[in-house]
Amino acid sequence: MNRTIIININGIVFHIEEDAYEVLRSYMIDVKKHFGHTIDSHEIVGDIENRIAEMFNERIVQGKKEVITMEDVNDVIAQMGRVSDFETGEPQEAYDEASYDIPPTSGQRKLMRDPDDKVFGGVCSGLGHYFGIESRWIRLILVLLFVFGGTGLLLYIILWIVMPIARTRADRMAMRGEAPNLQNFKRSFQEEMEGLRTNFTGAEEGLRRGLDSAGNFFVKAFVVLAKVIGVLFIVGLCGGLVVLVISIVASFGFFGADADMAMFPLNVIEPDSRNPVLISALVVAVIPFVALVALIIRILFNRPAMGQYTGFILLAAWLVAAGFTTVYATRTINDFREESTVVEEQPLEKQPVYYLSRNDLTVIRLQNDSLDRASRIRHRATIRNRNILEWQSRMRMRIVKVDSLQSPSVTYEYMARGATYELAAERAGKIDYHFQQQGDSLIFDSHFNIAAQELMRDQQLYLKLNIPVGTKLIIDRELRRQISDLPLNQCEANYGYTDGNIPDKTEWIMTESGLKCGIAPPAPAVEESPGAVDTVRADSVIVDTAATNP
Amino acid sequence: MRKGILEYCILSIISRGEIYASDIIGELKKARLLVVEGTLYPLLTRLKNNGLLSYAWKESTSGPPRKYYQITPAGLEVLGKLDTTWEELVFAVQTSMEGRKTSDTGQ
Repeated sequence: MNRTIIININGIVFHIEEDAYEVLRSYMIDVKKHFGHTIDSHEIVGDIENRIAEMFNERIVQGKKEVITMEDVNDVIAQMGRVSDFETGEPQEAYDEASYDIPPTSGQRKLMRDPDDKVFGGVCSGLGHYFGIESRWIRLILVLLFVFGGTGLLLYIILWIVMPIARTRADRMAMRGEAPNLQNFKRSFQEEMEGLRTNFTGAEEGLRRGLDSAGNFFVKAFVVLAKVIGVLFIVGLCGGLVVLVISIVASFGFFGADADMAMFPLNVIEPDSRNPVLISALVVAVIPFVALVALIIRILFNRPAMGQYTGFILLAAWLVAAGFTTVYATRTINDFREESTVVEEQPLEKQPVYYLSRNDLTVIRLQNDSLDRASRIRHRATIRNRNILEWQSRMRMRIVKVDSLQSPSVTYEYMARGATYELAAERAGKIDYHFQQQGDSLIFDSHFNIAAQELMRDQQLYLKLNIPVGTKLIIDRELRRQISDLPLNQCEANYGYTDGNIPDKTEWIMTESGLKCGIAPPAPAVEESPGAVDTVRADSVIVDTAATNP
Repeated sequence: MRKGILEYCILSIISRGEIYASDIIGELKKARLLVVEGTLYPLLTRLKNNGLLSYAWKESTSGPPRKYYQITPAGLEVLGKLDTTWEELVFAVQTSMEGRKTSDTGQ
């Protein structure tokens, strides 16, 4: 049992169930609200009411019943369509402003986002309306601001938050600075009607007409110039992209990357994951370039450079690649967390004088009797390439003073990093270094080796040469890269460059106050009084011993 | 674009002779152009306001009086122009389509 209500639609009386009436009433309120902004609303709503009345009538006659039920109302509404269906059935098409005469303005424009002409949020087109500039120029400026300096993005986000969207027709008119009066509302309708005709003639003509009516040759010239600049910019970006790809591919030896030949950034990565990591890094780097080019094409030429699905696929690919790269990078960084140092001491045979020299592993030395010269060189080169990187695995050493009664020794400090202390220590222990003493000559290898399958984990080697006071050292000039805290240049200067050549070896002596150059600086002037020389000599003990030596 | 075509079709249907709104809907539904009836009324009102259509109330045997629409001379003129434009458009599209087909088979 249901209560019924008696309603009157356009002079016809219907009995309608109470709940069905509520549905019908809210539907009609929606319809009135939808057409409420227009001057024709009364007529349109009247037509719709009329049609509903007619449909109800048909149902009553056909069904031989007296009351309109919920089912009837729902059917009628479905046939008439929801208000949201009206919107999609009759889209507010974006029309080309250039094809219309300048509308009467109220002089006051509102800064609002334009939903009819948008790439992301309609911020640029809103700014364009506000300043009376075509929106694409504002987009171009913002993109350039983003590319050169990165402020464009922040600016865009702030404007997006600050600017309200122009939802209703009145809002849109206020945005364009048109006075919200009856006449303009009517004009707005007529424009939509006109849109029907201009749509056929094509927007291109409308634009041309707009430009002609502006009568401005410079505007055209500017458009052409901007397009040329845009094309050059795109060409530049594409060029940059190609260079980027080539440089990545070339410098990392992307094609057929040989595990033996891994160079710096790659020897951090485990051999099995080198190629996936490289590919994903390439994808992460390249896709933003492609997107930027597509965006510029879209802004300048008003046509999408890629389909929606292509865009989604690219975005998805970028996200996957970025995720993979991040995960791998985190794992790799984790492997650098702990640092471990292994210290080892080796005694030296005591000698009054040591000759320090270097065995340069970066130089390939051949035996005279070697038969297969070429293959030998290649073999050595491969080993060297794999294990030695001049700046990465160089041995560094310091010369330290010990008491004259103590015996000389060499202290090795091996260092490496790993995820745990144990792993780091194990890695440090695998550092392979050769030093040998042959009588009074000490020969240091220039670099240390790490095993072929070992990853680069910041391995380092410090050598401490513990020399008792009073011991003399003859240091080869080649070792200057290994001994960084010794003023070798000063000592060399003391030799005076008599024949114009820098001496190969310099003489040093360990004193109570550290290692000193064994050669006195050349006398400042020959004519000087002996007293002056005496005072110089009295200042320094080293000079005395050096003077008595030869 | 679609809206323009819809108005063009409405004008064409009405130009055949006096017609009632729900019959226009029937025709449009047959042509699969219209999804819901609510879309039609604003369009008819707009065309009428632009002087392309006129209507007359007529008594109905069953139910309320009905609006019968009729095309005006101005409407006929616009329709004539639209016909020409449409033919041009059809020619343009067909010409481009032919090019596409031959290039498709050529591959």
